[in-house]
Amino acid sequence: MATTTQNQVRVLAAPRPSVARPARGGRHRSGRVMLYVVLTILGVIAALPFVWMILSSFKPEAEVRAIPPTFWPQEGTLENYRKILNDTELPLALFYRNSAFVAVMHVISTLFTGSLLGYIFAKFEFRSRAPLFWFILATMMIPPQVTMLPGYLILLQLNLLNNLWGLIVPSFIDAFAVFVMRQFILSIPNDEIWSARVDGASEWRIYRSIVLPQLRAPLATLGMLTFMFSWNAYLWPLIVLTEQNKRTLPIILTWYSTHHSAQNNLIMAASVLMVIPVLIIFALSQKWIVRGLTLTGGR
Amino acid sequence: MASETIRLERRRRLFDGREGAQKRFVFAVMSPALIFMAVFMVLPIVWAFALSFFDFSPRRTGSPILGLGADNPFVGLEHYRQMTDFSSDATLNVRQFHTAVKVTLLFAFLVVPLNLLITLPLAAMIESVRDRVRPLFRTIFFLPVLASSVGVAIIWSFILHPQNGLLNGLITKITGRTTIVAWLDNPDLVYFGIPVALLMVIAAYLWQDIGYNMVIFIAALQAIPRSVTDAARVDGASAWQIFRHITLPLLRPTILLASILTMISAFQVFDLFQVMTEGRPDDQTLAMSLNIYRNAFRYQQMGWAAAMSVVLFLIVFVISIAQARLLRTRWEY
Amino acid sequence: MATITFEDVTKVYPDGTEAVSELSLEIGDGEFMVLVGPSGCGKSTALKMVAGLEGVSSGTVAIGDDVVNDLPPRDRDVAMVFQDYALYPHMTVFENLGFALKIRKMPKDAIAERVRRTAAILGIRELLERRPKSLSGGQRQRVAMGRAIVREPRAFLMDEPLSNLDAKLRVQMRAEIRRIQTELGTTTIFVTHDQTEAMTMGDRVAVMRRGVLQQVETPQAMYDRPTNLFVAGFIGSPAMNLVEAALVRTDGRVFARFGSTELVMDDAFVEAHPEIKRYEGGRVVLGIRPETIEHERFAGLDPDGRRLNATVDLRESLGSEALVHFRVDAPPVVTEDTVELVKDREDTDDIDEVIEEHASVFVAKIDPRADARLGQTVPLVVDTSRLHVFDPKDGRAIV
Repeated sequence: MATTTQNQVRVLAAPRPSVARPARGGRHRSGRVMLYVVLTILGVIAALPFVWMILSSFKPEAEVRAIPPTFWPQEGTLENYRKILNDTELPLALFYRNSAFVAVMHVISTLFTGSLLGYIFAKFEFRSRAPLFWFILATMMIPPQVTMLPGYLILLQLNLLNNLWGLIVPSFIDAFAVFVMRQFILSIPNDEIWSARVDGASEWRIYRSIVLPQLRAPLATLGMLTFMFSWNAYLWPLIVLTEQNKRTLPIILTWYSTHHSAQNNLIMAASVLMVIPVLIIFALSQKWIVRGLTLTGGR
Repeated sequence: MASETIRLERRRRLFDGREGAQKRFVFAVMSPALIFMAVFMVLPIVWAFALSFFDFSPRRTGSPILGLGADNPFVGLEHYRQMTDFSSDATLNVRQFHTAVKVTLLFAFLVVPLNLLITLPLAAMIESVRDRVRPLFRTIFFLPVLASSVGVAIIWSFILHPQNGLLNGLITKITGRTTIVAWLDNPDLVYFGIPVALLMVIAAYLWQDIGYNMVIFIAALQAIPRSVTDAARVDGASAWQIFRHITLPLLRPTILLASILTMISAFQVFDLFQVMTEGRPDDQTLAMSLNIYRNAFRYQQMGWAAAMSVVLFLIVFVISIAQARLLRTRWEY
Repeated sequence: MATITFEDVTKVYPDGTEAVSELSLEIGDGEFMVLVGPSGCGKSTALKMVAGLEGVSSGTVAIGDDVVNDLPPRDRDVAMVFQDYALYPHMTVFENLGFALKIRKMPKDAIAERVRRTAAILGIRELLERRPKSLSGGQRQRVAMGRAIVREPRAFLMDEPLSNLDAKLRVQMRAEIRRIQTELGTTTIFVTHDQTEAMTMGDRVAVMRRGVLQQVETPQAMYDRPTNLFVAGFIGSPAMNLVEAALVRTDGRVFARFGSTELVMDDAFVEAHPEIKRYEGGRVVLGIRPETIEHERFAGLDPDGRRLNATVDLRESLGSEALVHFRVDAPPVVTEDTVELVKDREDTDDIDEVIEEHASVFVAKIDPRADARLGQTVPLVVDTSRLHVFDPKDGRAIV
């Protein structure tokens, strides 16, 4: 008997096509070109402030004070950065640590409480569920200006003023995170949870092993956003932290800029050090954040 | 007694039974959560309202009840009454209050339409761009959102610097005439009744904030099924007609949401005002949030500040409701 | 005149995929042409090129006497019905139907009149004030059709409009679409992946595969004379049985031999298709339609040289006939086209395993009265005058 391959019948692929001629546009060509031109111009305008900031950070003081100002650095220098990094009055590492500590704790706490409460509101029934949930949503609407005064007084009573924990504790529960987590958890099939219960898993176990793993996307997104906003926060840290060495970066940056008010080269360099790292982190994890933001529509 | 034992037994059953574990779980989570919310969410709101009825300074010791009373006397509606004093010899803080309300309203009502007028077309443009280039544009316009507003304020202060700033430098280069305009510090610089300093803060805020709504609109645009716009094209609609009859109506819920959220945010802007102008020149950029902060933490007038914050909240609340009513629409289709 | 003509039309996407290759097809005025083929064969792309939703890479598309390659969709005067209906979600049914007319600035009462008339034709008059989301699938489909009809265009372009309906509704709508189209006399291109739909609805059917047009024919002619293996296996349900056979000439007669079966080819048959002679001593692919295999008792043919002994694997009683599945001891014909078909039949994903087994499954459509029960070995007879013969290398039909 002939071999297997010989018993197969292989039909030739479809007849080889002739080389296609290039497409003829014409119709909407001019419109598309205009579109790109406009977008590019707008993009340049949008990027301009950052570019100016970075370029200025490499200019010596004399050049920054020139009238009229130059755009490209005539004399590039790293002196500004050197000065800042060696400035004894500006222990950058300390402030980075403060900001990072607050931001990380903030992220952990809001993700934890958000997912847990979101789970409760999504999958459990109890009489006060609806009013409680609406209440949490309503708190999102209160302007911080209202709550910051009593907030200050509360921290005063709790002796948490001038303490990094004073920043972290009041934001343990983030209404927005609860809202978003609940949305996502709603789409987890109830059957999965019930079958785990039948299998004998404790409620905490279910939360840890079934709910949490499925929340990777919103957790990552919320985490990044929370980190950014905590890192950039100004008003509340300004109120709570009164001692210099407890302060976070945005406050330090302001302090530095008023301290060296005539030396814009230094100020720009300091701004770069504070603003750019966050932007780089974002650019690298870009896909996640934008997708998550659009899904949650958050502000 | 028989009835008592029955009552006791019922109570014990609260966490028993089929759903006992779940109830315990909810209880375990919600209890601390509720306590937390009571202390950090309810209490502040109540306290803020209460504060507005007192003349309060954190330095003075009041009665044990939240520090109210005693050295921090109860003044009832005095603060609110003062707010309605529009006479020319009203005290400075009252006049500043009125200025702040004006500035804040002006700011918000300029920012929101400008924002929408820029972000919606921008989103539409970016959406119609080729797939590969789209993330690039999206990132460029979204980056300012992530920059700290302090950073934004500082950068823009420098851009607007009279002698060394980018803006004057560009104008000098273009017009050939050396231009040294103090954009942020000249009280006489007014444009159509709007202080130029305020316009500059608006510009900086818009620059920072555009990325937000842009991303939201892009998502909403992407949610419109391709086949629907295709159908419109075959039905004979031009690009403009598609935008007007199909895209815009389908975007209305998103536009409403975006405008309300933008409005609420605009009322609460603090960082830019504090760092860029601190209210100067001549209180032309004295926003309510700045005024409240100053009165509370610099002048130690917390009762007065609390009253102002309550007013701010009411303004935001009323305007949000009005917006929702005005642009009422069906949310899902 | 609303003819539609494809002339050497090719569509290449920027990433290099060629969706349509040198398609040449002429659709007559008022004709109902069905484009059918497996997914990815280019039928939807071809349709979109007529609509103007896709550009033409090379070749020309003409509607009537006008070449429309560079015309935007709005100027082509064609109407399209989409697979997901694409109704405007924020408009009422009335507004959906009237949208195209409103764009063209037709006066309001003229629009109203036309819309109501169209709604009456489709039986959706009481739905006019409703919105799409409150309509059932079938109702939405009718509105989508209405939107096309109300424009009184030169041509209807329908992209799998019935695919999302349940079976019963689909059959119902098939008839209704055909009825309406005949009444209106509008040239129509109907795209589907369902060969039954193609056969029952089309004036002519065009089979496409991987961007290449395989055959254009009236349904019956295509069924009787498929031009290649692909069309043969695609058209007809249950599908044609295919098997590779050796053609030998013994004692002056031509036999096709596969496994333990030997089928004779009558002299008349061979004379009618002289090309067969070239394959004597070689191999061909035989195509046997299920209805050409009958139980010996009911066949009315001389069983000599036509016998197929079958052990029944499965019997499906359809009432009017019985479908009998049985194994033939010859490996199945596996071509790129028939791979999916074979996988389906043999109920396996492992093609090599199937080939190893040296057995293929045949289906015969026999008289329900025949005694052919599960596990039984039954004598079947093949009507060899209705054999299809294909070239084993390029799949071309020899007979």
